[in-house]
Amino acid sequence: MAVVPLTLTISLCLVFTFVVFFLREHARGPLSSPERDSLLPLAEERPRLAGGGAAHRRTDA
Amino acid sequence: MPASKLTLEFNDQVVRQFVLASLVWGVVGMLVGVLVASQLNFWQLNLGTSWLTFGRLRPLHTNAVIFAFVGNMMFAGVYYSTQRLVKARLASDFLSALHFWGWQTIIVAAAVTLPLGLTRGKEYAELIWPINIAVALVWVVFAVNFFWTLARRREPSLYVAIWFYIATIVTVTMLYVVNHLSLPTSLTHSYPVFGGVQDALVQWWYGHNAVAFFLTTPILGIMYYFLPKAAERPVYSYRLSVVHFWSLVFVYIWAGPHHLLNTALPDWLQTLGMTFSLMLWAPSWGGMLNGLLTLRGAWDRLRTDPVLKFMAAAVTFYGMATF
Repeated sequence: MAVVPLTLTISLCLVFTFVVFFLREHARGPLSSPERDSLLPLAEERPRLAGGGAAHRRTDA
Repeated sequence: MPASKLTLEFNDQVVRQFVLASLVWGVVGMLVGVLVASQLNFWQLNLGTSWLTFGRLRPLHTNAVIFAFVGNMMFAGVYYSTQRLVKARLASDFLSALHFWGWQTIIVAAAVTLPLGLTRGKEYAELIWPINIAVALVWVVFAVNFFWTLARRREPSLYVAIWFYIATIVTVTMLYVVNHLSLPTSLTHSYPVFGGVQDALVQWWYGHNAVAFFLTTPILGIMYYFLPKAAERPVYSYRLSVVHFWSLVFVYIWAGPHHLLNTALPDWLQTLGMTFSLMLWAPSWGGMLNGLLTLRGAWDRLRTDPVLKFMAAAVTFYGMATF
């Protein structure tokens, strides 16, 4: 099997996908900012004991 | 407008299952490692059977530690952090369970076939073709479950950890499928569709990037979620994390040819692989420094917080290993 055409095909598919998603995201405008995004892991999480103990619950007011 | 109250219930059962499986397979994989290391000095530890010889157990050790120990831990970390970062429960409990049990079945199949001497003979790609197909299918289950969860997210912005997870899923799919393209000759044997130096190049394009996109990018994503959480402060530089992400994924994929130095591979390609390997130093240290600097102002807590101690040690060793 010819590796170069295969590599080029896959790479071009990825480039095309990137361009499509980039243009879509660009057209939508900024959803957030780095300052806000950096706080996402610190969002408050208050675990409560569930009856079955199978899941944590998170409450947003 | 009245304030609304939203209660989210996460699927943490599958997370716990993956963590438990990681611990079990970690013990198994490392015990096999101790055995094969001992065999190098004490040949009697072959125990007189071909099933337990070094050549058969060594790939069992590497597969168990990479795909079973780290793999299960990585799935647990991805599922735990993704649900919280996108504020949505995993899209499908069925797919989550299928992912977990499918992956464990593959590991058991590997643990049986490798000691039997059934192998494709390629490093980190030893498993025979029926198991390769199972791996691809279970990986697709993982991908569908993950992207379906993203599609149902309540948080519009994707935190950088999610980007690392997306890179992992997309790139491992591409690497695994291309390097495992084979022509079966029986249920347990096949030939790769590539030949000669092309086969070697594809193998090490896969082999090196198995380290990059199975062992590195998902773990960095997990670091970007858990380190700020443990340190109780945001990541040192979010902008650096974005630069780190794009530079790492762009540079890493070219470094495979450094496994084929002084071979029949064209000189220019060997040089290209070496050059990109050197360039990889910058993004690797970008991530390492971003992790360490996140601990600014919290270093005193390393004396009392074992989680932070382990994380600081892990990030430091990552920096040393990539030097």
